[in-house]
Amino acid sequence: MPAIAFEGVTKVFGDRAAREGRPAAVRDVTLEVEQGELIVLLGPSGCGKTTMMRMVNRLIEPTSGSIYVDGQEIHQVPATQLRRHIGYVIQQVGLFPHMTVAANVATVPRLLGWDKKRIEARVDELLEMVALPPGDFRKRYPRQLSGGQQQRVGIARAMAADPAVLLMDEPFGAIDAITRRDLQNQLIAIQQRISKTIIFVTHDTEEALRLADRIAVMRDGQVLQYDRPFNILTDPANDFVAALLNTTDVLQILSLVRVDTLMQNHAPSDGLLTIDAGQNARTALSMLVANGADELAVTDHGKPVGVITLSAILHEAARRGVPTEAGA
Amino acid sequence: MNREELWKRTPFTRRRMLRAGMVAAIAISVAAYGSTSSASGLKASGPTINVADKQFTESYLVADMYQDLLQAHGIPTQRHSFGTSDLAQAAILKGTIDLYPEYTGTGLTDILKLPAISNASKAYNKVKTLYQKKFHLTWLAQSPFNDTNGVGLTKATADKYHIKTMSQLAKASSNLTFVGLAECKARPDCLAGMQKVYHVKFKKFIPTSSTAINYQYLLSGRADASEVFTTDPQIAHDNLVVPTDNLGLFPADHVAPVIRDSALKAYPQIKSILNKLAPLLTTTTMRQLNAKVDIGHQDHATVAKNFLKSHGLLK
Amino acid sequence: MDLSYFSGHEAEIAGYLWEHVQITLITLAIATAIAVPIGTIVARVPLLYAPVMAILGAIYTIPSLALLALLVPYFGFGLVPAAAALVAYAQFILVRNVAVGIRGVDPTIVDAARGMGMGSWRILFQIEYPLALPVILAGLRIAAVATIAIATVAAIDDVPDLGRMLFDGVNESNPSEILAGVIVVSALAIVVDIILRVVDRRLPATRARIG
Repeated sequence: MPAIAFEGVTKVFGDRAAREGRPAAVRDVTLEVEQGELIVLLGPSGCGKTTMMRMVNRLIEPTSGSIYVDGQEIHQVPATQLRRHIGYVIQQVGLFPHMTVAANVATVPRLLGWDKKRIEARVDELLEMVALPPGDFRKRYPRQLSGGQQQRVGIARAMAADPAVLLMDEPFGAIDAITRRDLQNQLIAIQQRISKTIIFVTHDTEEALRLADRIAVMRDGQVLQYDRPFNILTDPANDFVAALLNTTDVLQILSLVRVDTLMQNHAPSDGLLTIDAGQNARTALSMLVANGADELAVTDHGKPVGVITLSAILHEAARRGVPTEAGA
Repeated sequence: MNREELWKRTPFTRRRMLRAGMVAAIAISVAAYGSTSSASGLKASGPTINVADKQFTESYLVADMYQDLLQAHGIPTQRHSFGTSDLAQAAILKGTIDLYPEYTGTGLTDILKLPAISNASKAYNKVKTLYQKKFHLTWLAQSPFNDTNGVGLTKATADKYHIKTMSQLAKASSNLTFVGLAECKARPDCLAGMQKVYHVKFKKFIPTSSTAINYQYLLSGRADASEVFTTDPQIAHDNLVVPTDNLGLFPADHVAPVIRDSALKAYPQIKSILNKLAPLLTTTTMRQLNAKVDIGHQDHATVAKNFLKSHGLLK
Repeated sequence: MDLSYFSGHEAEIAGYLWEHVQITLITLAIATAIAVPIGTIVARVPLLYAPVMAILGAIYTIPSLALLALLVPYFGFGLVPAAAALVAYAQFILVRNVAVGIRGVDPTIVDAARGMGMGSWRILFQIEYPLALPVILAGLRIAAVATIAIATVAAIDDVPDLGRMLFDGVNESNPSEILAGVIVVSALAIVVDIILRVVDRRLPATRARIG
């Protein structure tokens, strides 16, 4: 059973009179998200991605169609109850400034009536998970935290009651590029540990490619393509998708190719630079070019498992890339 | 529990505590208010008579005397205080108060909206009849002192221009500056009336906002004549001359107890009690008593009590 | 500075002061209880702001003497109509601050709270009011000082508060009494202002903002 299912969901803003002839913010979208998947809704401003996300926890009500979370239509329970079991992270973070970090994180567990000891333990656990040592950060107030720290608290707060589903609306949009990368990595690490179902909204293509299991490319309220990043890059549905994701950038495609899919399984010679098997081909290419080398030794947990050559990478690039005309 | 832990409680609890504290403070206030307002009475039996004053020295003194006399005769009283005639009148009509000292002139012009009468008994009779008919309020016996408008001059000025009467004042008025309350200018019982009846033509009229300022101008010489009220303490204290009202312009304004018929019915003896007081309040007496309070800064309740004691009405 | 009136009149002054404190406390409690719901509604329905403030402003301009006279048929005389008039005046200040305070709460914070599953009432009492409290309290401070000042007029309506010292002082030409009255009224206003500032510093929203 999919974790989240959209069935013919449409949203037109305004009351009945205003709706006449107005373009839909979301137009007849049908889409499924599997358990433990992190899907990214990607598109330019106004494409309807945020509206889509906010319909899942009924902050926006669909005009028509149905939405199912864990098989249950979202209108079968009161909205507040639905929301207490869905994590919600927004770009501006929205921490309660008059409450401590601990109190913020404890919000939903308190709403659900957990007992004090359980809440306290959970808060500590979550702060550890987002790399904010509880002893240090429990008693602080949001104004005492940096932007990145605040959003980490926001994520901890969203996960406090251990929801199966998380909604994240451009959560790293207001954060500097360096910290953003750090937070993305933390999210990836957390996701690897506990596999939440996540709907992640962004307009940042690179972010989408880094984080997504699948990307739903949206424009004018419709989903143009919904597939794994690699498939979208190598087989874009139309010119818009191609342009948005810069599918002609073959290096980008290489970044989605694991080193161990291109390596040859024989022992590497001595004196070669090493690269981990989980790294991507773009990184390997970068190392080869920087060092003027022809091949790298591939290791897995430190043990040599193969060799990757420059020619193998170039071959793959040629295979995946879109040829351009001479002189263009 | 130390303060840190106290503050760590949820905001909800803290607010509840604050609210509870506020409610307690208000409850105490309201309860205390009830107890602080009641007068100390003798053995209370029967309904309380609510006595009021109009918040000026003379009124305080007379109301104090009423209250002292009633209490001395075993009638429980409670004291009220109103700053304007309108409020006092409204209060007695509503029954919030039962008794207060009122002036015949004020009753005629301010309450009944009739023209002033300068003859004392004519004014009294008219106001007594109409009050009984319209309001079911009784006027008990009036006192001899007349607290009405007048003109005050220093003895020096009066002697210089040979002024003993208002007509003589009018003859000399072109040499004199006149100071008075701003409202005096248009009032028929003040400057406007003086111009009409006596044909005064003062050199200059200086409007002010308080009687204190009027006396300052008069005594410092910045004005030659001042609007006065005939029982003002300064007249006795500073040896001022008040020209006689030979043409009867200024209204009669004698004080008398005004009481609700229902209160008089409950305690008919109030009539004889207060009528014993009435003749004792002469113009000279009132000026002296007013002076004790306004100039001597004695407490009006004490002055009133001593007066009653000295005349054997109080033990 | 002639402070002579204070000696010998301590009991009298204390009595007037206590009356003044009572009427101020009662007024502020009732005024706040009324202004908070009205201000909350006005904050929620922006269209109401202008007309409501216009009405409250019009009430504020009614001279106190006139308003007291108007209230006689309904409340009679003394503490009750005086408090009613003062409550009416205070609305102009308090309602505005309640509305502005609530509207000043960052909407993204409210959105986060909604998205997390807080119901409207819980958001109002646990998020919006606490965050609006500094602004509301600032309004209360102003309203308190205004109430203490305007309450002196109640003295003419059978309320034996500090205003009596001012009126008596004028009527009896006793500048020392007037001065004493002014000093006590001002001192009361200053003390109340200080108390409310201290309370403001302790509010969670204030401490979170400035530590």
